[in-house]
Amino acid sequence: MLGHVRDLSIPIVTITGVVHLVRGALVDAAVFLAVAAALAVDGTADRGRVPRPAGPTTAGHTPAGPLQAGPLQAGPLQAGPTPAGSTPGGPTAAGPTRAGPTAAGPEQGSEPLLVPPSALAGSALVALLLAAGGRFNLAMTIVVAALGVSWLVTAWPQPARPQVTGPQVTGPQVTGPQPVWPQPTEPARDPPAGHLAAWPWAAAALGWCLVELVSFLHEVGRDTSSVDHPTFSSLIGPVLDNRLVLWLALTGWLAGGYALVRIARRAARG
Amino acid sequence: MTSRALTIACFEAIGVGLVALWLHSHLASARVERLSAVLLRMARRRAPRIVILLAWWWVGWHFLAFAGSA
Repeated sequence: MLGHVRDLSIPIVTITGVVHLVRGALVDAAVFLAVAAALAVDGTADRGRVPRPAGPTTAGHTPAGPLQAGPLQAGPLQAGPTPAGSTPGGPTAAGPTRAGPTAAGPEQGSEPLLVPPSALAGSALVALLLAAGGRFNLAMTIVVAALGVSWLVTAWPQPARPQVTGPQVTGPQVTGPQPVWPQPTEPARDPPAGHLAAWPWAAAALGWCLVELVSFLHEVGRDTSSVDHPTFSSLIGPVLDNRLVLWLALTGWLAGGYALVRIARRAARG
Repeated sequence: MTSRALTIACFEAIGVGLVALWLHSHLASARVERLSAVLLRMARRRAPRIVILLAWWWVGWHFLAFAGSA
């Protein structure tokens, strides 16, 4: 299921940008639509850059063919059924023992903290400085915008291509297993049955989006939430006017961003 | 129950559910993948990776920056 969700990334960003446009949030719309356009253009360029093994193409060269058993298939860039714990990101993200069902059932081992205490303390300190000025001021806006740019730039690179380690094609005959390059457009596959489930996370996110969508459609006007169907923003906004809550929320947002950037960099490294 | 109360209850239920899910996923016997592992798996491809960060950034932008509230 996650593979299909991934394929919808660009349409989701585009639709969100259009929604922002409709609600009159022009900056938000510009950011989302620009990112969607950049992803689309870059995705097209990536497809043109994907290297192909030399030599004649046979049925066995297709991604679903027998060469899938090549030496690189068990490598780090195969985002499919490979348990996350076996990636080069290794034990940090998903735990080293996530190797599918065992007699005792699937397990996820311990992992280092995505947000170490030093990063949490740094986030709390920055949040303290920012929260002192309250919301919606110039300093806060500049910091948030700068963080957004730096996060996106950091997360943009694609994983490096693997080194060619298998036997080379020397002529029209394919004599051995061939390297398999990561295919940017190939949808990742879901883990086989019996592995740990990810669908509860997707269900929760979808449920939240559904409730928010219903509330959004009941909005009286732009940013004027319906009393009967309040949006999440209209419920949370007033709570954030309290400086202590703002500080806590800002600390969580900064620390969460730090964790996501670490995950993104780890994934980008392959 | 009014529509407002129902809407708030839905948000609360999802919030509580997410916390419970997160706690459950960290148990040794859990059959639910950890959120960090799900995100890492999604982030192996550029587009979802950017979408995840863009969504998180927008949360801050919307609630904190003056241009985000306009």
